[in-house]
Amino acid sequence: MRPTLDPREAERLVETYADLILRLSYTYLSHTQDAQDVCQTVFLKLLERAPAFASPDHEKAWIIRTTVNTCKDLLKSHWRRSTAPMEAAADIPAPAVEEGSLLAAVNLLPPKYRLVIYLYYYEGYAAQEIAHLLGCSRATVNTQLHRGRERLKLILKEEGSL
Amino acid sequence: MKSYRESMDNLSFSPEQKQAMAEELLTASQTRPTRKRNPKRMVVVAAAAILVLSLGTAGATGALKPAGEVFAQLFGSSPAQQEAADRMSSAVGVSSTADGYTITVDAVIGDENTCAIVYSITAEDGTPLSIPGWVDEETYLGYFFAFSDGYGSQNFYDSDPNDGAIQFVEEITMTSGIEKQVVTKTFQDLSFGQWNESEVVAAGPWELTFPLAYENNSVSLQADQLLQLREENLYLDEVTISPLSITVKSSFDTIIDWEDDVQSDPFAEYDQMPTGRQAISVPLSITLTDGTVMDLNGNVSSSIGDEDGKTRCVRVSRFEKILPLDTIASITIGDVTIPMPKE
Repeated sequence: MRPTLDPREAERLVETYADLILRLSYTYLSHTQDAQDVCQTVFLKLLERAPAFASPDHEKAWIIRTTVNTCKDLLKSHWRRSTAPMEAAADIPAPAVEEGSLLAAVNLLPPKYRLVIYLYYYEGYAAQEIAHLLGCSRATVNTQLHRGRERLKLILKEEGSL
Repeated sequence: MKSYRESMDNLSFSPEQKQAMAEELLTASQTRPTRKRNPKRMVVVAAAAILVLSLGTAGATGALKPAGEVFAQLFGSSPAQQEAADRMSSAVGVSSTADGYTITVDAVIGDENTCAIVYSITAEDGTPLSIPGWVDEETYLGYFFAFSDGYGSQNFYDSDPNDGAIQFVEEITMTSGIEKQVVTKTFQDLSFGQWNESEVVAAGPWELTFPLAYENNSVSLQADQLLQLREENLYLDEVTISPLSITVKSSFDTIIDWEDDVQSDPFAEYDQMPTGRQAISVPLSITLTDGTVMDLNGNVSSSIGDEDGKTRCVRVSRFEKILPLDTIASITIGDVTIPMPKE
């Protein structure tokens, strides 16, 4: 039987990954209302599955994949509801989006482009690594990065930021 | 105006929220049952894998292809490419079955910093598997693993649409070098669909233990040259090339402040990048003997770190296809051109 979590391990996991999960959730869902739920779901899956990690990079990759899958499940469950419940005020304010900023432009992209742009430019993963994280081909990632960048240039040009 | 990075940096939980989450997690760990691994099953899989390896039996498809052919299909099938693939690869033939599917390690190929592993998947009930691929411009339907112990990308393909099996190739690049040894790979949650809308076909897990053994055909080139990056000198310490990839190891003569540099504006042109980012982005190209110039900047893994009082960089560029070394005339790194040694 796996030993219960050490308090220091619980703190380490939250300290290391909570903000990453929050930023990924915001990137994918465009809001922060469900971020805490996503966080808890990811950490609970970690407890349940208890995978053995070969390295910190491996652990981080697992967290990213699980967060993305959890966000996908969340979207599906929202779509299936006949009425959307009134959301309580967000506990975590979404980042202030300045008009004409790069974040504003990124937020106008489809979720799949936002995600690869976040992983590539903010987290610093190579296209090959992103393909592994998201379970798609490297060619798909390169295409999405390329199309995402082209759309960003177009958006920023239209807004007079370029 | 805040940059994308600044906006994201500012998005974070408060210390109080993190503390509350940690306490909730601790409580959950004390009340929630956890999944047990069955150690006996792991021993059985390992024993079966060793048995298959020692008898040299065929994989799940019933016939193990020669390793060189497996990789020639992926990375180039000219006679010279096939010959290079034959030298640098080896067949494996280890299998694991779970949840009605069998995964077989077909073959491995590699050099000092990159390797590729090809696996086949078959359904135990004989149902033929296939990959629809791009059904329209935006929609790709195929298989992928939601969870696996791996460091590289996995690309699924079908080497023979008539045999009922599908394949996937795992391409791994490690700037720190690949240790050739017995490895254990674990795959879980074989899924089908689009990457953002899919369903798990079989949970697995599949555990495969096999030797990562192949002949390294890398050659070293005459380095000991200097690149000028702004006010710093970047020394080319070592350049090695194989038919699969090129590795460039370089260093500054001191420790530079690179941590902020590597997070800098991703849209900047090379000449406008700060020094640290330039060091891991030095343009790489190859000139072939027929005069063709190949840009190698699209498929690169880089690392930077401090060691022995110097900041050191490693760039590994994997080739899309096998490049027989006798088709290469020279390598260009930044503004330095290094000719291939004549045999």
